[in-house]
Amino acid sequence: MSVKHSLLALLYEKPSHGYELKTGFDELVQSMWPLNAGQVYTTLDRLERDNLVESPGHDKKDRKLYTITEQGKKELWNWLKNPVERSLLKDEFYFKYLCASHVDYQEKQNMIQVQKQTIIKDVLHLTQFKKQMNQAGNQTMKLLVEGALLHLEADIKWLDMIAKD
Amino acid sequence: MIHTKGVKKEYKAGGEVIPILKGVDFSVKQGEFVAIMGPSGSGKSTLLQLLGGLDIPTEGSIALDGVKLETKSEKKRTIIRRQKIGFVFQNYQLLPTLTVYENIAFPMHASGRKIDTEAIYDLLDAVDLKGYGKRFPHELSGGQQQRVAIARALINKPAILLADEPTGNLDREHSSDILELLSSFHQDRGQTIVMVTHDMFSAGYADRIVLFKDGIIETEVKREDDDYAEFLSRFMA
Amino acid sequence: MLSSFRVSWRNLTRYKKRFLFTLIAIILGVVVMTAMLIAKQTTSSTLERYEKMYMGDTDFWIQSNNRVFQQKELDWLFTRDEVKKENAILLKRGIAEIDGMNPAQTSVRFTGVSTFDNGLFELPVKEGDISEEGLIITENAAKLWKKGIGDTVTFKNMGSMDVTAIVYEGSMLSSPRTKEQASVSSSQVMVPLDILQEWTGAKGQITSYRFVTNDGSKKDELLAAYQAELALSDLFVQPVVMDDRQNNDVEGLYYTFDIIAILSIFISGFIAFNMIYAGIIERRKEFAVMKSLGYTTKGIYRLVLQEIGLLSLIGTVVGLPLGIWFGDFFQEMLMSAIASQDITYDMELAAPLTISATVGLLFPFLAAAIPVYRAGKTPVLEAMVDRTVSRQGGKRASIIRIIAGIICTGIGLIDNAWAFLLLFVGLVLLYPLFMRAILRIINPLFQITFRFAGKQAVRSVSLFENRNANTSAMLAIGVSLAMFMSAALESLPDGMEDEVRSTFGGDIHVMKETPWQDDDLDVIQGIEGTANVYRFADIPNVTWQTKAGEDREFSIMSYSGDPDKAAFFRISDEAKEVAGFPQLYLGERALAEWGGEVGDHITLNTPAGKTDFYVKGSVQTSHYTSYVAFVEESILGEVLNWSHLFHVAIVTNGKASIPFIYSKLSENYGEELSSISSLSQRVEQSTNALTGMNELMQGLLLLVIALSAIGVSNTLFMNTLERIKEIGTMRAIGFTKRQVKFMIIAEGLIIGVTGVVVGVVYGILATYLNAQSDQAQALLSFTVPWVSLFLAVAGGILFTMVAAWLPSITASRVPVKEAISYE
Repeated sequence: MSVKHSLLALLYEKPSHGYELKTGFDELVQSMWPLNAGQVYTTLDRLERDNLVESPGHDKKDRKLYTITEQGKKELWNWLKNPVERSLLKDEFYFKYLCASHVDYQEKQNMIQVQKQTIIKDVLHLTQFKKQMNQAGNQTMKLLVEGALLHLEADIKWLDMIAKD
Repeated sequence: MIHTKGVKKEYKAGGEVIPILKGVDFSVKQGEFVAIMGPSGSGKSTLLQLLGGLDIPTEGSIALDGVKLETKSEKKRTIIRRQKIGFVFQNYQLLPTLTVYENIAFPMHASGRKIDTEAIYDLLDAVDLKGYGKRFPHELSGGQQQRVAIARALINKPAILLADEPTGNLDREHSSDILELLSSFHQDRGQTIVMVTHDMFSAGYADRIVLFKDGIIETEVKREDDDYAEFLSRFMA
Repeated sequence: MLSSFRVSWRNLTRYKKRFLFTLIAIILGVVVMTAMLIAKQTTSSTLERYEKMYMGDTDFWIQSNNRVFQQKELDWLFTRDEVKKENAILLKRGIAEIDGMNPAQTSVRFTGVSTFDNGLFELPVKEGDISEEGLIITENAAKLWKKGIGDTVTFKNMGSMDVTAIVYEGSMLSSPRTKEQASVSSSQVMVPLDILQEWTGAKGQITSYRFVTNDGSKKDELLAAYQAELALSDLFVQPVVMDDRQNNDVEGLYYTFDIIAILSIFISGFIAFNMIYAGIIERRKEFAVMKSLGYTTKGIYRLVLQEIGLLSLIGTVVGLPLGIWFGDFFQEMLMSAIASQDITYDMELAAPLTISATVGLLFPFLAAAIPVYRAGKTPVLEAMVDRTVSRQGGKRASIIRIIAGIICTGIGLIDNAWAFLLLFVGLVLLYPLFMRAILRIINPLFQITFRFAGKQAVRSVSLFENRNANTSAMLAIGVSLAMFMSAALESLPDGMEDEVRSTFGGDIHVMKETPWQDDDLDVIQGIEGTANVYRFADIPNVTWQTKAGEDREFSIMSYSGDPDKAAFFRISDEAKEVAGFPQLYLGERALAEWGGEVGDHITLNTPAGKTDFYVKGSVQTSHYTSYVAFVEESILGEVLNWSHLFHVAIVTNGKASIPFIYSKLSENYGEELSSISSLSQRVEQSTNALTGMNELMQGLLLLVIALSAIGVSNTLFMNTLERIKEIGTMRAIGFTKRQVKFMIIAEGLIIGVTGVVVGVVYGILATYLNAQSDQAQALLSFTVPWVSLFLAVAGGILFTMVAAWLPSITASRVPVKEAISYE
């Protein structure tokens, strides 16, 4: 998962202590992904253990500073470089559909319909979010939303397809 | 604002009766932005034309502000259309011989109103076409033409703006412009909008999406503000 | 092949109304052209036939300056062996005794012939046997007298004879139809020569002697020989020449027919052009697809040409029979308008039908040339991708058009009948300019009347400027021609009357069978109401040749004293020098037909034989439609061997004394009088024919305007069709049906008003130019025909309103939903 890599990315920017990393993360994801301080510290511990970060000491307020190591940088580049694998059955609905067919689930059409409604609602919300991002001038996030919308559009098409069977 | 009840529409083609709408119950509240979505041939455009009084249903009733359109003559419907309806089409339908300014002024002329120059310039400004008044449609890009069409549709301050695939001829980027323009009219001025589209991307701008399939409403989905936060956290996680 | 024709048919009829209108236009064009050609051909052949009936196969005839002569004076001729057939003729007058009719109504002119039916004249038999010797009367006389074959007719102081044949009216014999007519003209009958000589106590006397020679090739030699033989006698010989120009002036009529035929074909060709052009523009995409599927340019040409062929074939096949029918109808009207007597005619069909069929089949192809060329050029990709066809024509083309228009107008101002046509070509070319100007003027007016619909109409008219301008131009030509014709026909009678009055000479002309003697003049001078009386010569059958070598025949009349003060003519052109030859003045028409100039010499076969004359001048005269020559009285005897004068002109004290003088004349000279005519009769005669023509022309021009109206309809249909989407949009965003209807009618009105305004201006211009023209011989004065102007304005606008009505309904019914939905 990528909390680890996002911390590496933040540390690549500048040496930081734990609280700085938390606020940096919140800013990055527009506070949309609640991440608590505990999570940050456990992750940092793990990173330090793996020699991906190291601590040059504490700052004046006695907060522990972290810097990225050469190995850490390598790991970050590696992560960015490698393509993301997709797994068919990672999508839960796909799996549900598989199982529903297996047990000859009577409410399958309804299931599809409800899923479709959910997706449409997601589209509505996402579009609104996109508008917000647009207004806030966050182009990167706006593009992420566009991508998500395209996925949802594909999902709807697929749902229409399987609904016909 | 609009209420349809059991609206059916049939066409005769070569002795065969083809049902397009098979009983549509549908309403639009003042200030709503509704998208009618469905695959092509599902009857969504026909519904829009009925809402605009361009035709009357074979059966059922369409009430616009309490006025039953199907009981009105062609001429009455035209007059109602003038006063209450603004149309935006997929292929813009600007009058090629009129300038941008004149295109926007056309509905005012047609309904015999006094020409409100200021209103026209305001709208030109609002659709981001300041200084384009003297151009002719063929001198504009598709997105610009559609913005003129929107201005034209809004010049008589219609109660409802009916948009039929307004972004159908545009690429994604220009589509966003148009849709954002529409939703800004909706948000800032409370413009009621009914938009027909086959495209989720456009439909997402609406408050409510009506899914249309084979001449009936399959389902309706509303954006409810209360679960917006929940959606976001789910979406982001 | 059959199926490909079926495809063509489907393509043609894709837009039913447009197809129908175009077909009607083509049919109408073919009909009018056919009818005009038939009328022209039939009229000319009928006149020729009538002329020929009078002389039959005759080669020469011999007459006397004494009117009658003894047949034995020709004994020398009988010794010559080239004479094959001959006929001696004696003309005499008498009175038939008919129950229920007074003698004044039964005056008879006898034609005594030595041989019946030997081909030296022709009689159109109705019933009986014309080769049998007996009394031959005409159909009119038979009806008036109530006589049939075998009935006996008695002639006062002469004898009686049985009717052996009844013939149709013709040039040899004709009779009045009604009792009224009978009191001013006599019935012409034919009897055997010997019996007539016996009845009238004129033994051995004849008026003329006609004969046919063996050897046609040596006519000139024979003529010279006969002239030499008769040089010193009262007799003179003339070759037979078919020339009816003295009796009618039909060239102007033919010219009018030609113009109307050309105009109607031009208009329908233009309508066809519009349809084909619009069709091809619409089908550009289709052609592009065909090409992408492997069709060649040639293949597309063939496809389109096949459609046009089908269109023109249908148009011509339907048009020709209708044309024959209309031609027949028109011919009958024409004949009753121009001919004073009943004339039977056989329609001349062969040549007119061949020409009409050829033109009818070909002109749509000509009209299609440009559009078809464009169809073939359709570029595949462009047409498939690009949906909008550029509506603006090239700027350069329009500049060329204007320059050509100015040049044509310039040439059109030259005083010449054919250059005159170019004025109208210029009109068509300059039309877009006129249209723009008029649009500017009527724009505010339209905005007030039709409000916004009017404004839109003005716009759309400029949108299809060329097409609308051309359509309007057709209307303008129709209107201007109507104006011009009415102005001409309105001023022509006045001009003619003026001319007749100023060149008739006196008030009454009397012709007598025997020469007028001095004491006859005293007698007439003594009749109360007579102010003056004088004799003059009217030498008939003077033959000559044109510069181009055609045989012609006219009369020579005499005047006395100063030619500047002559009663019969006004000098229009005169040579300064004096020549050695005897001099004469030629009527303007005679001069034009002859082809020579004032100051040249002309050789005439006169009663004195071949004689050279110096053409001293040309003159305007009402006599013999200006196809006549005038000589000074003093040279009559000496130069022309014409010493006896059979004509007198009487100047009266006033119109009121004319009936009294008439009655005194018939009291004194009775049966000796050949003819009496008065100035007012002549005026009436010459203007009557024109009045008949007036209505005929107005009818025809109405037809031309109707044809242009079809063009207006067609154009508006196409304008509508090409703007279906726009009209749909207008309807969607708030135009009512009524506003759309108004818009289209306003468009029609713009076309109509422009057509009428330009038409009226050009009509007046044409009238003015003609009034200034030397060629019009001052017959046409400049008048503005107010009634016609009103009719043209009202009619033109009404016609276009009606023409705009159908397209306006079509436009208002444009289904909004379909129009705005995308393809």
